[in-house]
Amino acid sequence: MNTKGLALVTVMGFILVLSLLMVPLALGITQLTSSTNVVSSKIGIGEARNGAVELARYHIATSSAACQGEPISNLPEEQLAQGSLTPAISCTSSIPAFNGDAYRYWDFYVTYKSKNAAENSVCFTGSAVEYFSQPKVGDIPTSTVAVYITHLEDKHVEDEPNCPR
Amino acid sequence: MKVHKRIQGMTLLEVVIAMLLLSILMMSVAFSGTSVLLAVKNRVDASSTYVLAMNKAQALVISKGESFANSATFNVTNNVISYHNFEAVTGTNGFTLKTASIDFKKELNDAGVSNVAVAVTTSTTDPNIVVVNLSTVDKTGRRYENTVILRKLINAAPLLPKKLRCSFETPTTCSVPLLFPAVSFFPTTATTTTGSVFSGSTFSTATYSLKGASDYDESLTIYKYLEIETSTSATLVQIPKMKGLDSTVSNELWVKVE
Repeated sequence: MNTKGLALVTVMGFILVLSLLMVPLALGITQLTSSTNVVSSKIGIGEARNGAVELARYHIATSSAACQGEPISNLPEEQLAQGSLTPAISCTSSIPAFNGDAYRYWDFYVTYKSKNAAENSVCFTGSAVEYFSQPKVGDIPTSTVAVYITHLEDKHVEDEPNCPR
Repeated sequence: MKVHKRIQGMTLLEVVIAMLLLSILMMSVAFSGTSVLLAVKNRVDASSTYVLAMNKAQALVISKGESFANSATFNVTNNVISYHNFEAVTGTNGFTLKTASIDFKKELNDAGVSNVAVAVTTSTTDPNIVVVNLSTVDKTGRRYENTVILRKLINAAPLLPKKLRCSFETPTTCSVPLLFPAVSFFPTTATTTTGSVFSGSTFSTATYSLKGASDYDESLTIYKYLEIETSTSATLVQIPKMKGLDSTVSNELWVKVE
């Protein structure tokens, strides 16, 4: 009697049973993975939005360009763990003070490109007010700059010509 | 040479016994292996059900929270976020107030995730942050938890609009629409205060009033306009400190109006 053949058949049957049991496991894990990817993508965009606002705030506060209405787009790209942020800012109007400006009104455009090529780029656009005040510290007048974000929205890059490509 | 036939090979009986033992071994391996796999499968299935529900809940909270980022002010009552967007009216310096709310529990029920409990709280360290806690418990008592942090990114400070549209060449009373409404002047809570204007080489007194009142809620009135009243002509006008809806205070500054 050939027992090797029987053992082989038994082992193959066992493997078949195991395989059938593994199918729903694999399906469950695939669902979990895709679901987690969706969540991580949304978290990535949310964090990028927060980063874009802070990046725009920084470039507006440190800009020394005159308020001419032309977009300033030669700003450096910043890398995040989940993608990159490319900013552009544009001073649209100002209210003068005795020396310099009291208010500057800005529009900003920050394009977020995810490292995941399957995700579309998003443009975070909005407006901000740069605000110069001169409170006195003791008898010494000091100049402070504050940047207030007054509007923010997400757009497709194709829908906004000023968004960096 | 005499050979013992018993050691030349197994008898049929021995083969049958060996096969029987092997089959018992294989069967026990098969059943124990299957039961282990089934236990793992049950755990993974249950986990995936709850983890998928939590992921769906988290994705939904983040999606609904996007509009919250653009809100000027908000409050949280009974796990519902009520917020206000101020949208500029095209062609004017005015704005309209749009109210909205996010009821995460209702949104989750509508999305078929009814077994997830939601708790919404305002951060104790940052008034612009809302913390949304999601939790659910499976049949075996295992607890699944997740937290989403939503951040309001708008500063609702009462600032001047792009164009003042006022001439101070003569004594005047000018009403300036504010970018976001003011609650009061600061540090006083009054809606009328005095300040200065400058012309030539002299300062003179100006009176400031908050106008265009409307009820934000039962306990709070907001003002859309800053009225500046001068008794002389002016080249520089002092803008007083004002407090906004989200408690942002705009600092005092002077603007050139000639």
